[in-house]
Amino acid sequence: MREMVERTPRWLSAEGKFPEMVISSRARVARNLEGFLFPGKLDKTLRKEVFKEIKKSALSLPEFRDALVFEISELSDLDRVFLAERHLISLDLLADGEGKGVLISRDETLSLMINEEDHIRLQAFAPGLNLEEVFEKVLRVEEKLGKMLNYAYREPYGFLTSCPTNTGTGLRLSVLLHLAGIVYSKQLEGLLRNLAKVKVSVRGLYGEGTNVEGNIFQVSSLLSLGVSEKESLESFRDVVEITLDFERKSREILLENRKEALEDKIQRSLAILSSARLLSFKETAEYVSAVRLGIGIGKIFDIKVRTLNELLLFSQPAHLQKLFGKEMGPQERDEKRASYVRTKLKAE
Amino acid sequence: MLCENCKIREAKITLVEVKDGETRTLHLCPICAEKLSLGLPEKSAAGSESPEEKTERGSRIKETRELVCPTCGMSFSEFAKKGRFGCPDCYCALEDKVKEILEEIHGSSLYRGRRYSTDRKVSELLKREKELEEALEKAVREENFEEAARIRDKLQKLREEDK
Repeated sequence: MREMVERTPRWLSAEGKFPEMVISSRARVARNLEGFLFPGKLDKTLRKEVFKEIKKSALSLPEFRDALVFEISELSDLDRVFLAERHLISLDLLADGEGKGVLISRDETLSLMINEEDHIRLQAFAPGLNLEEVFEKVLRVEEKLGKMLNYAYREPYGFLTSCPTNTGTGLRLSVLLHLAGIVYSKQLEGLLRNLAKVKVSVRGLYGEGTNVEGNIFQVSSLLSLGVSEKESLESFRDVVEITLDFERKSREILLENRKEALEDKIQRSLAILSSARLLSFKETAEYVSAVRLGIGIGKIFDIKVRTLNELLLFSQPAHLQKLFGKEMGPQERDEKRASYVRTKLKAE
Repeated sequence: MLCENCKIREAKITLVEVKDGETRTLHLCPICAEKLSLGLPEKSAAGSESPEEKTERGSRIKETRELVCPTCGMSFSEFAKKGRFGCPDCYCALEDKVKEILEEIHGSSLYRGRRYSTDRKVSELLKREKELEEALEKAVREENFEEAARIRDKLQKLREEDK
């Protein structure tokens, strides 16, 4: 895990389309093995057996060559949170339980959670807006795994999953969107109302039940029955495009009506990030969002989106502690965070 | 022989139903047998039981009629509380309600995704793909980029065919 600490995962590299508004794209499929109870009902011994079987099959694929393999029960609390902050494991997988774990490809664009809610939760990540890439990748690996493992698939429902919200294709597409324009112009409620109508969910930074930090929202597709995989992709892509258009329009309106106030907010945020001596994660995320918007509307030129992604990633509590190589309480973290942010911005 | 009702589990019970003078034989699994036989109209003539007996029978039937998955023991009320199935067989054991729930969530219970055949043998195509991927990696490692480009093209073509 040490080698992961100082590295920025590829999905945060800001290389894709619209990286300032779309931080990353993700696709995941849920699968279970025939002949075993779902993880929630499965006893420890059998869970370990499932873990071994899936691990063995996955490691034989080129996509998982030299993959990092972690068994959750063998990780410290800090390491578990570290993986969750990187979105490589879900908050559900944090809780203790033998026979649960994750395989992570070397470039961190694939993660395979074993014995989370389902036996298999396979995810592909890409920077920016690139739903096609993650969609194809996740289904390609899923297909290869399915030739070695025997998935629970039965007529008339398709792939059977622990939660009925995933039954069918087990596919979910999502994007992490930075929607500062919509939030600043107080149009969030309207957006949420419209998104609920088209069957997508909007959540916080770490998914279900988490807070929105720094105006970053996780928007996900919801349907896995009644639609093919391709249709899911197409309709979700449309929803994302419409949301991005809405964000662009909100920014235009802000620039027209509240130009001074907006520029003040952006420059003030950058000044605080560059000189503060104490910063909480929440504050950091808010100021980073304003600076990010500044890049988006062409008011800030000398800071890269990638740098802002890194600031967010390493400002998270577990990342910060890993980066400084020691456990720290909240107060010390605020100090070290401010120091990290200052140094990073000075280097730009 | 598969159960004629759910068509998933092994039929272990033969249920003979007599209705309007006609007999019908059904080969069923224990779960469907229990469900169907409990669903049959009461055989006893009206008025032959005391009201107490009736209520007692009513509540007993209600109790035993709660759907329970024979494989993992998940009952419908447990499912309703947790919102999670216990195993693949739950879908069949709790079947009527499952369809309703899926339709409520997805607006449809119709699967329209890719077919999955449980042929567990690694296909020839996949084997070939794996070989090519290994060769590609070797070529890159040895910095033989011309060869790598050739292999990459072959891989691309193979993946196109695979679709």
